[in-house]
Amino acid sequence: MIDSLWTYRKFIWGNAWRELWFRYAGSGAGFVWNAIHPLFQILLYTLVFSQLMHPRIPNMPSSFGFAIYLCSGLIPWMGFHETVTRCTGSFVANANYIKKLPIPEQVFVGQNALSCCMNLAMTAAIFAFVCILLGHPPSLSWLALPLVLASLEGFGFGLGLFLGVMNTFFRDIGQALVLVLQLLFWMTPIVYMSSILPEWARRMLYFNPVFYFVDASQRIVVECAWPHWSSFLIMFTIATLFCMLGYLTLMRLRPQIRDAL
Amino acid sequence: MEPVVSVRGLSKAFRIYRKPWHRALDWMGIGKERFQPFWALREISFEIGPGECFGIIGPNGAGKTTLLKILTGVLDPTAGVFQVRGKVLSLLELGTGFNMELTGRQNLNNSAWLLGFEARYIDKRLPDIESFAGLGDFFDRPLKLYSSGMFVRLAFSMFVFLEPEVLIIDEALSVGDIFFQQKSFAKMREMISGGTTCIFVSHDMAAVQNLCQRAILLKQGEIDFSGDAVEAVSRYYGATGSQGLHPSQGPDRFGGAGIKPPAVKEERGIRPAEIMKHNILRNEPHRHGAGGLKLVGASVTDEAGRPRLSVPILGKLSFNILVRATSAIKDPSCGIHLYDRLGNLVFAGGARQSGYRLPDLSPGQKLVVVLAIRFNVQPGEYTFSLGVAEPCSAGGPNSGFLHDRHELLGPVTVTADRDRLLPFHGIAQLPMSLNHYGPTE
Repeated sequence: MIDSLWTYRKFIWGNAWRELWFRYAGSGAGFVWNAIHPLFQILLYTLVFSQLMHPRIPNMPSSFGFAIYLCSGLIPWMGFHETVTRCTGSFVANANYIKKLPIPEQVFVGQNALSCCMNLAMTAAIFAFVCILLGHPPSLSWLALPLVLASLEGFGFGLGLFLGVMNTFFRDIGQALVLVLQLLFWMTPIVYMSSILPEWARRMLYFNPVFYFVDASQRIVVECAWPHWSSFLIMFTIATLFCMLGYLTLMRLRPQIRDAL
Repeated sequence: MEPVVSVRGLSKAFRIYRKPWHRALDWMGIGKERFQPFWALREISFEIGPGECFGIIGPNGAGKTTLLKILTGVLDPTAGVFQVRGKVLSLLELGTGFNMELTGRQNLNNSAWLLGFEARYIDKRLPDIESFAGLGDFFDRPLKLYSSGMFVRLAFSMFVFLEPEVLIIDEALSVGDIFFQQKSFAKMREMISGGTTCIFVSHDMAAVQNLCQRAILLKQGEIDFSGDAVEAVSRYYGATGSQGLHPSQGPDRFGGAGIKPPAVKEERGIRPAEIMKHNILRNEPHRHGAGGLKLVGASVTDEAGRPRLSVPILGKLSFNILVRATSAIKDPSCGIHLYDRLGNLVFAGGARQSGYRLPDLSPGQKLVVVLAIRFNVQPGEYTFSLGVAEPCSAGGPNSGFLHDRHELLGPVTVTADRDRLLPFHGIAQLPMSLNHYGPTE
């Protein structure tokens, strides 16, 4: 699979890049909208949670504390959400190509994942910039952030690949995914802190794979601390396992995908 | 010579599940397999030599597209092997890789690369493509500004100039304006004579006969006939003309068009049973009239009495019509209308126009009427309608009381050998005599 992704790297890269470039084609600001959207969202949260509402974060005296906490979880989540959703739909959305050109199917999933990655990277960069302005400058431990986000994207890609294959046969999956992701969002401590959860619920968190990534990101950004090495191990394992799952499913059902589309 | 395309025992089955979750059970290997295989192709074998133009014909749903998709590598065969030496390009892919936001030039680079050509090779061909497409300034404008005709021109130009070893052409060619179509056909002929192997899939039978030497006729996923293109086309018409009308007769019914020795025509004329055996009348949808006199059946035969719907230019076809009266009919007439592919009425005539008096009929009586027509018309496809009428009490001599009429029958194909001098040009041959005087000094 990796070699086919490599063979088509130019296609994947070109299309992913072009998608960002042309998403806002026709509008005056064009490409800049890619930056304006996340910037606006981050500033909005900051304003609401520093001026209007004041939830307090332990060990963080800054009035921007909660906004920073929220964004540090929300940004990875949104990246993950977009990756899974778009990868799941990628076979159906690209049916026109898949039915007519002998291009390996995973290329389209890869293209979607890459475009989501670029989006996430840009949002994270903007966030880092906003953090400086808010007097919460990135520390050295932020260097671990790309690693966390990359393995999260790997997880999203693997899951999306698996669901994408399934979705070609059972279109309900794409619909059900919307609900499941919503549920998962509230099961992950993003808008709330895990400390407010009752003991049983806190234990449940360890069965939520997204939790590890979000937690690592919050630790890096909010506490300016390095995540524990074991959490890296867990994150890599999750990403690898899901990629394997997606890959094996694709290999097994590949001949039927084109017949079913 | 070693074949460029060789296909042996190729079969393709699609899995049809009655319930979607049956598929999931099959994946997990629970119970016996639940799908019903739908065999889109069965045991297809053929070989195509270098520089040959090979036709694939058959009615809709015969498996033509599936076969092409396997040859281009989009679908995997269920059984059998195929081998294609060199690069295959199919017009099925025409313009699929195009991005509306990119310019024509960027798109060519992009999609040619997608089809597996080297970037350097594409750069070399770009000027040729640009001039062939004839898009002018639009070549460097985004595709979203193109008209649909321009889009096709760009796609087709790319396609022909990439010079694949094997070229697959299907219906997609019948787009674009007539000038570009003619240019495309000329270019295709040039490629074929230049040694490109060509697979031609079309409903345009005149084009198949014209371009291809050999052809296969597919029917429900199986090869019904393989060999000479002209015979394949003739069998295709034999197959479609009587399709579905006599399901009880078995596969033999399609054989009539080409292989059987001509049925000996009886002195007393054609029998009703024979007409019914090769009946071409379809059921109700395109039928109207008062119904006092009914068309029961009709067959079309050539001069040797074989049922067929194609005829060489200036050749003769007989339309044998069986009518039955359900009420007393005085001075009946039976006639035909012939339309060209644009819907123009080319010719209409019947017993009354020809001054032929058919016998009066009492209820229940049957009559066979044979209209023999010489096709002094240009090559192409023609549809026809058959009708029966009585003289009308009101109106002039040219109005009639219509009893039964079947529309949209056929088509009849008038063929011509392009290597020989055509007897005339234009829509139809008019009676013409020639004289000359001289030479004088």
